[in-house]
Amino acid sequence: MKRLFTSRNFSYWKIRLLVFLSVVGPGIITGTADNDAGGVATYSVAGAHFGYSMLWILILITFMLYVTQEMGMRLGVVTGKGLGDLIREKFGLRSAVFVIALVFIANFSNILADVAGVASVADIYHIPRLIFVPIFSIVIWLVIVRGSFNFVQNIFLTSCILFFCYIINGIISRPDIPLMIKGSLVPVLPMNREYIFTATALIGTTLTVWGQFFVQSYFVDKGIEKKHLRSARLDVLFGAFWTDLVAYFIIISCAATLWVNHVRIENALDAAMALGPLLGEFAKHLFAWGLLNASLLGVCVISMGTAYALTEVLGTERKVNASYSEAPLFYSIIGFCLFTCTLLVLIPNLPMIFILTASQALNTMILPFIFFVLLKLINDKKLMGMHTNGPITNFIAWLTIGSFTLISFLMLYLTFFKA
Amino acid sequence: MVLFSEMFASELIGVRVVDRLQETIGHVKDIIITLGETFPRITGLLVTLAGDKPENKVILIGEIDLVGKQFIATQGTKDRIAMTSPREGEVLLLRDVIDQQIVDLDGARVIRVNDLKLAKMDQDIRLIAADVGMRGILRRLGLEKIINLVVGLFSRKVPDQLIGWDHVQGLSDGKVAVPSKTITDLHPADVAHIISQVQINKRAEIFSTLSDKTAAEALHELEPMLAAVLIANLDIKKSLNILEKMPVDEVADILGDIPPERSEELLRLMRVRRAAQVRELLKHKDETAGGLMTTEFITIPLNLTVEQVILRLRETAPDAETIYYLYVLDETERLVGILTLRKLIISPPDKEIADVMIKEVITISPEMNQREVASVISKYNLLAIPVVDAENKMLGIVTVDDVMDFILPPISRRKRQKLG
Repeated sequence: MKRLFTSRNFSYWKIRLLVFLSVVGPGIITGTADNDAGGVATYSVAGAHFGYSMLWILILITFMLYVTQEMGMRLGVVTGKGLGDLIREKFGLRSAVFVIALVFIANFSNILADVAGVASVADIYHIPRLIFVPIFSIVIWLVIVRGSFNFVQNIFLTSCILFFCYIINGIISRPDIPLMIKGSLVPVLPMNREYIFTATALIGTTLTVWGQFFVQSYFVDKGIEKKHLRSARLDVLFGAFWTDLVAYFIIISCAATLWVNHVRIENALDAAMALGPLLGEFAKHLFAWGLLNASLLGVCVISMGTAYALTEVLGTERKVNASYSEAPLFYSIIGFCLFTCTLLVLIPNLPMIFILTASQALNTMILPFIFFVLLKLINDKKLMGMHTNGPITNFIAWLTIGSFTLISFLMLYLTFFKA
Repeated sequence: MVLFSEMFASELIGVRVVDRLQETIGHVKDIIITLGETFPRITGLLVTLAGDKPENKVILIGEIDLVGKQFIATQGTKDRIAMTSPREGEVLLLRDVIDQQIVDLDGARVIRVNDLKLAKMDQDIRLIAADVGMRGILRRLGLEKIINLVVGLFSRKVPDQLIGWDHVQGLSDGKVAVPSKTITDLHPADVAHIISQVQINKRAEIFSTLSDKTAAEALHELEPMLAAVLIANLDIKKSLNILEKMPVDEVADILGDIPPERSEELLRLMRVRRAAQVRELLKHKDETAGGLMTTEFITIPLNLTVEQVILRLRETAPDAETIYYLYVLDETERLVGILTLRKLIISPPDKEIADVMIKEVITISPEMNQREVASVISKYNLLAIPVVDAENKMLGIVTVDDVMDFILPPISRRKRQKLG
């Protein structure tokens, strides 16, 4: 992209747009969409229920996030193909269908979480879910079918406001600095069910299945060349940093306000109170607005990503910008996800915060499969040539797979056998 | 002579191979074809031998008597069959063709192979079609019967989507398909569509197989960014040849988007007059009339007759993009009128140009914004509009295709741009 800046007849606004887009690169886009409703809820619960004690996990998985995203980026740049394409071509149809089924489950639960996020917003204002959620779903459907990307961009920018508020709020809420440093650096892993469950959710909301597919197809679509690997790597690094910076401050905000007062998060209104030090009474409104935006962005990005990955693997239709009649499967998948999730969320007395975190934990359980496939592909000499993984990257990747598998089993064990 | 009816490749994989005494030899692992013909011939089967240590061996098609879905029988007995070891460089259907992408030349789209259809032609079993539909996927997952049953309840059918092997072109490195026509024969807009769908490193490859003229037209259909990247990556000689075939305004658009060193180099190697025109155009801002216009147009002096003009057109055979309008200049090179091709043809040969031309010329200045240009062109239903300076001297023309994107309704515009 860089070379465009030096060309002669580039007008002012184009340069400005390019600067904006290169700063708000895939890093920030994934980062922001990563902190969707499920993300905000999980980080809030982590901070409110466990104080600063989960910060070390966040710092550890930031490295893992960078390593896995970088692998996805490299795979995309070198092969010029999406993850779904590669799985189909290298492992055959059956394995591809198996992987894609897992992806579908993970993504579906994420979409469900985001629609649940909408329901929580309805709860904050005491609007009946039965009215608010369906309207919202219809709006999203229209946005996707019409492809109104200006609208998506605006949503995207508004959710950023919420995240900046969290960062400022985290600073002025006077966190307990010694405890914060201790929590960030000293690993503790109490064997109680709730801690492990929340930790699993924390992992699954930071590293996501859809994020892995998204980062790769983003770099493929952008047509980044091999010689720009270095700057693409920086972009990924920046994105990982930004995602977790926001997460870090959400946790701190909740720890410094809710945890110290022993407030437990039972619904979205509780979570909103964490923004009190910065916004006072207004916290509720900003949180609701931010959550709504985060949900909208999450549903758009994830449902489209799912449909794209599915059609990519099945190879039936490859056009994302086609109309309904040209790509019926593509739109049917999105429609199905939206419709079913809306119905599910409308079940009365559904505990929203639980759905939000459980969906993220499910993500963690599926991630090892995806990373395993990713690792197989990226160490394929025929495919990657000189760009296969180095020993350190391989080590971190295997460590990621191992630890995620372990914590998933631990969570299942504690949930079902130690209840 | 082998017994065979129509079959899909996936139905052959895993089938038991027996000898004439019904003794098991092994199971089919893959199917070997030879390339070079329109419908590639199946030359052998890669078989995983039954036994303690599974080994892969090739059984040539000549040894085989019968091919069916239940079993495959050889002519001889087990110990008398000639088997060879698999060689490097053989093309295997399951490994190299199925699940890969091909270009469907009739539909002008890039699509994935779900299954392959084999059939007997004369004496040989040949690969005749690619299954690219849902049905192929279901068949390979072993779900075809069940789903057909379910769908049958609603008296529907899962449609077959087969593309004849003579209508596809492979994207992998081996020449898997020898189509009756190639990408090169497609309409440039379709070529552009295909190029925008395949992965980046394949783009330049396909592009370099095109004739310069097709390449130039395809380039015009592509998104500007994509076009610039392509030109920047081709070798200098090929890109010069392609640019030579393009109207100057498009050349300027592309050169404005590629690295300055590269565009400077290309400009230096271009014909001097053309390079000067391009440089002139590069001075104007992209989104103004000046940035859109081309400097290739046809002018005629005021004092000729209709017949003289037609004669002169024939003699000089101008290669300008638009010849539907002829621009009439006076002795001081100022624009005084426009002559349409239609008017020129239907007017009596001995009439003076000044008598048949349109004198009320609609012109625009080079600084006019592209949206305004579009609205002027669409308001007066023009094919092209002259751009003039303050002294009414002609600088160039903006043709309707350059502002098409602002005239078309948003939907078709989006389709056009995204689809390439």
